[in-house]
Amino acid sequence: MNCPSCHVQVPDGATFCDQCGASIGSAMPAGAPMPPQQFGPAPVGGGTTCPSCGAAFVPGTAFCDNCGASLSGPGVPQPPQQVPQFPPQQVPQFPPQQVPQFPPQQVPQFGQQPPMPARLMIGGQSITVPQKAEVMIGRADVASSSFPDVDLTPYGASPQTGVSRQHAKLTWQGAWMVEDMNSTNGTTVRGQKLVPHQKTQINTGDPLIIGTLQLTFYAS
Amino acid sequence: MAGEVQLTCSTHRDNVPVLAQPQLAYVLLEMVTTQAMANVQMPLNFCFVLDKSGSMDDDNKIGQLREAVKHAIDLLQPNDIISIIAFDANPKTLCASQTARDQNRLKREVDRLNASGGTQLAPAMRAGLNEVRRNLGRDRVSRLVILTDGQTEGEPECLREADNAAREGISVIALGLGTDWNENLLIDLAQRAQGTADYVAQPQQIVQHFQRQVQEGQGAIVQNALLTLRLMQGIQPRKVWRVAPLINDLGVPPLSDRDVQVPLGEMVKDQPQGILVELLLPPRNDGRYRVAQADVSYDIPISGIVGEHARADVVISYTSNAALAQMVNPRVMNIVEKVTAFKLQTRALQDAQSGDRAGATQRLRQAATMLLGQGESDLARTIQLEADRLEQSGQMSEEGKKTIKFSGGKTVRLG
Repeated sequence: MNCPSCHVQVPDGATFCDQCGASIGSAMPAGAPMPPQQFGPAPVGGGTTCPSCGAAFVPGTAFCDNCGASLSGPGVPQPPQQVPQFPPQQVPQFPPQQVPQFPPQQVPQFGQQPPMPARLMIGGQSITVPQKAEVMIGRADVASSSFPDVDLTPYGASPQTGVSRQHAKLTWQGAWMVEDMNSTNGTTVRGQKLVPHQKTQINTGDPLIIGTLQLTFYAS
Repeated sequence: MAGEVQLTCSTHRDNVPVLAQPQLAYVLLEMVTTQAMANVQMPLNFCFVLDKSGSMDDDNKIGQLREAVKHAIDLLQPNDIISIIAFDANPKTLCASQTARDQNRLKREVDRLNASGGTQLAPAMRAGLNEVRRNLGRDRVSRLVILTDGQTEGEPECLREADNAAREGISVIALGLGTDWNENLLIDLAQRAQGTADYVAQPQQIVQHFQRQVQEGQGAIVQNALLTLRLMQGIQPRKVWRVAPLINDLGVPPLSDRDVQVPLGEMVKDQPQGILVELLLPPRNDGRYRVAQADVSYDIPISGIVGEHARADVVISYTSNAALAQMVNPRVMNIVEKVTAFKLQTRALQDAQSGDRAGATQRLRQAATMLLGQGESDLARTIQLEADRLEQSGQMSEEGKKTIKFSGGKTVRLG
């Protein structure tokens, strides 16, 4: 007998496939795994960021890892169900000319503009950059109490993919600046490897490489 | 024979939506001894290591301690083994390692306990371990039960003794009385030696703590329990938490591994163990899938049982029916919420320590709101109070900090 889903041989009488876990011969239809290309980039605009603090989260997460807000109630953006029809190249671009300018009357006290809304795209998924003057990017690690503002773990960050716990920092200084935090495997912007602790301006559409993870920065 | 331990698995959703991207699922694994074990009891090999320093005279702490030890002696079985070390700057053996047959004589020894002197824990731990070593064996629960009310000298030596205890299978229970002791040391001691640390706020509570230690020791019938979660292809483990009897972060399992292993160690009779695993599920079409196979292996030395197993499947259905995919298991979700509240408290304490007053206050308030919603009103009130205090004065109270640290992990009650 073969698994209807992944076609490996399974012993007679098995209820589930040992390889892929699909149910065998039950009343429920056994699903076939999706074609490989559908495992990749997800549709853009799924909005899987916490409505309270802007931290990114994986669909299905019950509470925000950063601020504890509930992520399953009404009003929380959830990814659309099924059928990703966007091939990666159709990821909408944000041309620089669309960057809205803050009219002077919107400038808050202290004479400083608030950080321009920004996000990072990785593999078709969008990560909202928290609206803070300094935003740490890296990999959460409870053992060493590392909780970066942007945790890339759900997007594949690990020691194997070369992402440090405190890898790079975005700083708002009227423009977004990026700085490598002396990470083990370095940060690259526009193809240029950064010197640790030296701030470089990052513009919308700039490719950003954190360890081996390839991201794109957008500010609008 | 099998069936001494029951293993059950539940997920936060029986049906998850069919998505084009990976999604998170929470799996709760519960292990508990069955009725078949109701009459089984483990003999003890306990050493009480008791602080008799001068400060124990305040509020009649020493008197309460004497009564608590005598009550613990009353709970012992004739074949249990007990020893008692009293310490100030030097350890003194009140009772050498012996069976608890003559309870009256043991209690008369306890009456010799009087408060005076300084606090040096390490030599007392060494003396206590020497007593326990005289009756070490797999068929007994060997434990050092420490109670202290002060800051000790020689913390590194204490940690070395805890490591020695761990190597010999002796667990360390570290109880801090009042507010003037180093919780980080006691937590570290307990963690190194597979024990627990706890906060005894009032001297009259020592008796309950000692009673619990004796009863849990006698109930610790299952040894070497090991939970293994064998994941199907494409499933990634993201985070593992112990949720009961105490919430504890067990970290991030290596991504490359298809097996998640959690050493549970000892299991106490009728005290359910809970493990919460966050799994990253790959995209799949409609259908029912076994995402993991769970297995607990265990020994029950007192019944001659070695390497027995309990097994269960973790099954999830993927559905395109949005209404079905909305339905959650409230029991699992409550536990996820309590773990989140615990995470917020832990981070708030770190924030407060590093001087981030605003961050700490905000996280404490969020945790308090969650706990209030969960009916944990006492803890929620303490947290709220400490958030106010922190906001106003920049400081938390020592009492509040200890309550949060030690009660924050006790919110999940299974069974």
